[in-house]
Amino acid sequence: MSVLVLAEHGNAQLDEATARAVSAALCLDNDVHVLVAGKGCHDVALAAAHLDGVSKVLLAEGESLANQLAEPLADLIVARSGNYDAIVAASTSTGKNVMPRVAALLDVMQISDVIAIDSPDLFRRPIYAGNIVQTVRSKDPKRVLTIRASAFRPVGKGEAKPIETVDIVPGSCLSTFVANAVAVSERPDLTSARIVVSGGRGMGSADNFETVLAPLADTLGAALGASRAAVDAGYVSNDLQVGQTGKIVAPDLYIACGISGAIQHLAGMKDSKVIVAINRDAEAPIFQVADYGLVADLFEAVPELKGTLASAT
Amino acid sequence: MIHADDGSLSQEQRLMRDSCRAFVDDAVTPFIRSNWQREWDMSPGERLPRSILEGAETIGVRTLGVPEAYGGVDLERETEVRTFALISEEIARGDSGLADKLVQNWKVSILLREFAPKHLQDKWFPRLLADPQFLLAHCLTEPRGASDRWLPYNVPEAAMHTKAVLKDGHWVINGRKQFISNGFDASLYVVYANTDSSVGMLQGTSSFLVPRDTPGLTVTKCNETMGCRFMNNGELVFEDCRVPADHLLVQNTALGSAGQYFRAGKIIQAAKNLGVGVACFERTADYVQNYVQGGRILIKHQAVALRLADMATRIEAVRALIERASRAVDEGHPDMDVLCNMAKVYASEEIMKVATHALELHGGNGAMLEFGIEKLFRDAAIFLHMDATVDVSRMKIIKTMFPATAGKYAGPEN
Amino acid sequence: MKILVAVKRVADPNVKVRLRADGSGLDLAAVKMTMNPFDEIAVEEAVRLKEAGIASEVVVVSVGPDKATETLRTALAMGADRGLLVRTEATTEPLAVAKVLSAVAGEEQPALILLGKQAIDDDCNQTGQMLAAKLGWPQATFASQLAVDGDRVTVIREVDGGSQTIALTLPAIVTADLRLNEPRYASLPNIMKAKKKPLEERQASDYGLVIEERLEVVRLEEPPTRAAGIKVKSVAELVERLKTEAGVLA
Repeated sequence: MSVLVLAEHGNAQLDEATARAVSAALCLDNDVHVLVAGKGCHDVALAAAHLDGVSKVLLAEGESLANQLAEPLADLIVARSGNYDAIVAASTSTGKNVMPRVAALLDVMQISDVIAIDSPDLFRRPIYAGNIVQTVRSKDPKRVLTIRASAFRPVGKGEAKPIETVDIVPGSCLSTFVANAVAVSERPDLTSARIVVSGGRGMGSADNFETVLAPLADTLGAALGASRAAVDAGYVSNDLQVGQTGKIVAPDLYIACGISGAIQHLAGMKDSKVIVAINRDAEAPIFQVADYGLVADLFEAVPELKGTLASAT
Repeated sequence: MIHADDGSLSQEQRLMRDSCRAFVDDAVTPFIRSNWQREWDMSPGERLPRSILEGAETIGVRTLGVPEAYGGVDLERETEVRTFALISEEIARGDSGLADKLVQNWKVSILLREFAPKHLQDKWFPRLLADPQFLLAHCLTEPRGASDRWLPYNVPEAAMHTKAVLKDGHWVINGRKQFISNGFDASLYVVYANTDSSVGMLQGTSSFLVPRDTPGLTVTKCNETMGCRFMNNGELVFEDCRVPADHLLVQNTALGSAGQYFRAGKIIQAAKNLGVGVACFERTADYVQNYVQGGRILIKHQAVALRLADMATRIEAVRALIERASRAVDEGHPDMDVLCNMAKVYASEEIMKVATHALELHGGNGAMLEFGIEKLFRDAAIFLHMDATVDVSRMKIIKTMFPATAGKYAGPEN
Repeated sequence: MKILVAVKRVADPNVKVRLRADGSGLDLAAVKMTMNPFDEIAVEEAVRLKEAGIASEVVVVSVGPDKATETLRTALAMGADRGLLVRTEATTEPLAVAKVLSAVAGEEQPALILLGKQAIDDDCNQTGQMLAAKLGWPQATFASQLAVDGDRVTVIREVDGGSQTIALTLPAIVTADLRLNEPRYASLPNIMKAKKKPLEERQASDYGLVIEERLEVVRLEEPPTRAAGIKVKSVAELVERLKTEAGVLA
């Protein structure tokens, strides 16, 4: 049988996470369908139809789906689920919100945040903030997965496949959408940024975050992050916290400045592709996970780095 | 292991310990580590930010010993001293000076609970509870004698030099008290003074409650100590200090009553000391597992591993004795006085060794002020003196064990 | 309005959990246990709603081992009124927990159920959503702000790239994210008072349920550790290597 992938999108554009979820779905079966649920999202369906390996796109449009609210979306997925052995979504805020609801309605356990699919019924997933990797086998007749997008390569573009319009499921409106607020920061979102520049207690003050670290982040088009120590010291607000109880990030490049590298913090960033550490203390544990370590006073090195990069572009 | 959790703790004790540990990890340790210079601020009032005592208030550790009727915490009396030990260890793991600030409040509160007449409890407990900065102090030590006062036995010539005389409905106190924990900051003092010079000090010493703003009481200075610096040790002078007659706490037999304070006090002292040792161990264990020398982390060098094992062993031995002694006090065991002194003196010497290992295992970093290990070393050193010196503690052990021989008055030196 | 809060006992997040030397499972024997940090936030929010006069009673429930009574006591010391332990020594998967909680909700009839967004041990992030599905209630996950007004609760949710505000008709499920509040410490006086608060123990079978596992754990392993890289001597060398060797800078 086939796999249904829930498309991640904002009605206007298909998110790259979908191409990664399709890639994961192809590990389960060759017949992968993508469900695009939303409102005014025909372009998204078109984009999904061009994803390599997708054999069909289901397009469901309606007012109730405009904002990806969990209740109507879950009902829709469950209504379509009969034709599929597995339902896959990326672990985005939408995927994490709706998929467990789907799983419970189907009376199956969801397998969260899968990082590798060893066989169609063997899944690897991180637990304890990535300190342990668990391989699980599902005993359920149907599999509901969320996959960690950064762990799967996106599929490429291919020939357009058919788009089939499907009916939405009428239901009671248990919740209503009020508003969306895009983060006011002009910097990219911490969890999806390609580059993250992070500061620790070594930053010394909130001012230094703004005047020393932020310019580097902006030069790189990077998100700004912080260690728990920096958050606790009041240098930045806690939505910037990277770590076990903060955000888990896996960017292509993570630059840790004045961060000693406590376990708590490492748990949140150690899956980054390339880690750079700048710290005055040559023995700081962060250097043990860093691909490139620079033992230097960050107040000299960071502005210099910013200067070098700014002049190069 | 390092932390007490052998399964004998009650659920409440474990939860209390966890709250204290969370407070220390969230507020105290980060403050100490990033403000190491504050310790050396020569305006003592500024050293510890108000927010730390306010934080201590949020977990309710400032007012232990205050009866529940006044809004305090009624611990299980059968395990009260054990609980005190647990909590003071946890707080001292963050900073032993802060722990000392707080435990003075508990110890004096117990004295008030046990001995103060109701009108004094009604007057002072509410004030203590209302103000997070309100501290208590216990003024026993004088320039001419502290724990060594116990050496020459219970005779008139060993009496306190500070004297109190009842005159026109007031007790008039004259004298000096020095090395007083919280002395510089306290709002209310328990003061011991001689009220009958014809008898031994156990029969002729009275205690009084003296508010800080009493005319004739002057806080003359903050003693600048080598360790435990966030507790402002102070010196007080009493010059015709008139205390209302109703502020008398215990007449003539105050030192016997103070046993209540001393026994819990010794245990708390040892437990704080243990907390400093645990901090030494944790910091060192962390250091030697992260720092590389000769191509491998320090702990893989056997000489380092052996020292770490020695630290852990001493800590557990100290803990075991503290647990035994605190149980003895809680159960009113006949050996409790001996055990309290043993726990106190043993902790002070063993944790000093633990701190020495910590200092040495950190290499050059161990000697650096901003690294924080030398602070633990200084804090550990203070315990050799605080609440009786090592030798006086040993004398007390032997005098208590052999009252008929070692405890017998041998007469004054001529 | 009655609020039900679900809490889980987990390993302290500051402790690095390891595998037993023989690889037979997690070495949790000597690990300090604590309330799941996100559940602490959920308890705090419920207690604040009670203090604000919006909630009349806060009931905390845990599905877990005997020792989870300690976690419930912590919640009682934080200000919850009453505790319920549904005792099981089995592995508690979110689906099974959601079924138990759904049965508990059937008895308790709360207007609002608060949970942490995920437990930091299995990192599933499912229980709240599953419970909402089982009850047929609306859900607001990853809440960073919550306001109750009559029979509605308005929730600001943390979503990728910003926030989303939604309104739910009560009864509803809300799961707490990090920014919802800063939980208080269980103070010593309140710990002593919590001792006197009611804490009931039940079994899943009392609700006609069996706690079963749907996922078989085939293997546990520590992820490959990152090898330490190299030390660069200068900023110039760093930039050069990031461009040519690592290929992460254009």
